[in-house]
Amino acid sequence: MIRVFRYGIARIAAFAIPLGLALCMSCSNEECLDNKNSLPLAGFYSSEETPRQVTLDMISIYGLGAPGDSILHDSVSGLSQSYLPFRIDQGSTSYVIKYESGDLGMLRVSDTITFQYEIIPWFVSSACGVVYDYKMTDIISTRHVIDSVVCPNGMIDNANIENLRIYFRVSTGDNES
Amino acid sequence: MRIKDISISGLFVLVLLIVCAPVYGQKKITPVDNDKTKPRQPVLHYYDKHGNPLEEPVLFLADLDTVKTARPGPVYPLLESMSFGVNFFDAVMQLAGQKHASIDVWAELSLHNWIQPVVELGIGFADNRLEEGNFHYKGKPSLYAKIGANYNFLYKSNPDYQIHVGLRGGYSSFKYDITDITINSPYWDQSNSFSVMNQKAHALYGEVLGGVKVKIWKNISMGWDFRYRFKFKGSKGTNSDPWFIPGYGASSNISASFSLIYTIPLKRNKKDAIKDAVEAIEGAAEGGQTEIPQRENVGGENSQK
Repeated sequence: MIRVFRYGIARIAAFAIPLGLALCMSCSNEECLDNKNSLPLAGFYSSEETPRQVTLDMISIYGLGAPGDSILHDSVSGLSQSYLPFRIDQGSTSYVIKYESGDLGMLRVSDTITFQYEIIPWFVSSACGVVYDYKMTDIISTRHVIDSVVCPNGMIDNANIENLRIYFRVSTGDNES
Repeated sequence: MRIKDISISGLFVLVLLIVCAPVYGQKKITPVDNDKTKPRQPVLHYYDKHGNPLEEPVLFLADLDTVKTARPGPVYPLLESMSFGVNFFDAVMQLAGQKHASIDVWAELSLHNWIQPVVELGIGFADNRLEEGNFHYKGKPSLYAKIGANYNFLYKSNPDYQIHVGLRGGYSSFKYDITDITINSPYWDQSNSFSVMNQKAHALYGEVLGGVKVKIWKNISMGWDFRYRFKFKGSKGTNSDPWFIPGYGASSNISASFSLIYTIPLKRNKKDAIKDAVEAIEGAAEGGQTEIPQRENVGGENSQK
């Protein structure tokens, strides 16, 4: 009798445990720990021998040819980083950085950066989905205040990191940009 | 003179005490007949082999059902049984909303009811479209194979009930499409729709598992395993990390299997076992020995030793 009862329990467990497992495992969801888009993030640095992060006062940033002359940042201060979303209909995107403080503002000085890249679609995961990776081929910029622009990894993906660096010529006196 | 007499008699008493002390200290021992050549006497049995009381005691000559010495080796024959199973755990999981499935058939050879080499062959497929996702992932039906072995902890017990751990190595080469992709760039007010077709990849992976097997009816059993999976090596598609690997699953390392099992016993049948036992007894009697050979497993339930 005890034997029959013990094996009966074992049989019930053989059915019930996998069903319980199925219910538990179906509840688990994946999470996207990175961005769901490849968003280029540019950091602003000084062009000194030992570069340091700088903040720019009174600048505007906009994309050349953006619909409705849309402006990313309009006369903002204290900016040390900025997302610069790329065009996805062609392999080239240009941004204008307009300086509006002090003499630079009076002289209407601005710099233009043009990024040239290959667009590579990439399926990351079920949670993050499909993103565009940008393989950088060239970066061209005017050099009024900008010293240089680099993409350290040569590639921009959906990782939530700073993937562009813009180096500015900064003065050590009162006219520091 | 008187003092000398006293000391001599005292010494005599002391010596007597020393000589007799061990005799008084000995245990009383009942003699036991240890003559192994003496024919054994039948014993009255009050219980059957299942432990149920008999209506009347039965007198017969047999080994008592007690453990004399622990047997370290296997109890069952080398080729104990062959089992075939269908793992349909992912079919159950699909009912619960899982977006992929790996369904396999497997064969297992039970050696001594102890070590059990296993081969698994299956087919895996996926169909994943999330409401908030920007794609439709379609894993084409692709084959996979696994090879490995189980270790049955209850190798001296009834083979119908097992608790085991095991290892597997698996491989799959597979294809998949990612369709209905939509990517937006809100700042530039742009949207692209496209598909990434004919992605190919392969993966080599391993599994560590633990589980049970339970007899349901006659030769039919059910078994389930917890499985922890890890990748050894794998390739990527031209535009993707494969989301689903047949036989491995998707993003989670932990999975399970749930199988319906049919077992074919390979051990000798009851008739042959009885015949062998009778021949052994006759041979022993002719040789002047009275030792009854170890009772063979003649089918039915086996008690744990």
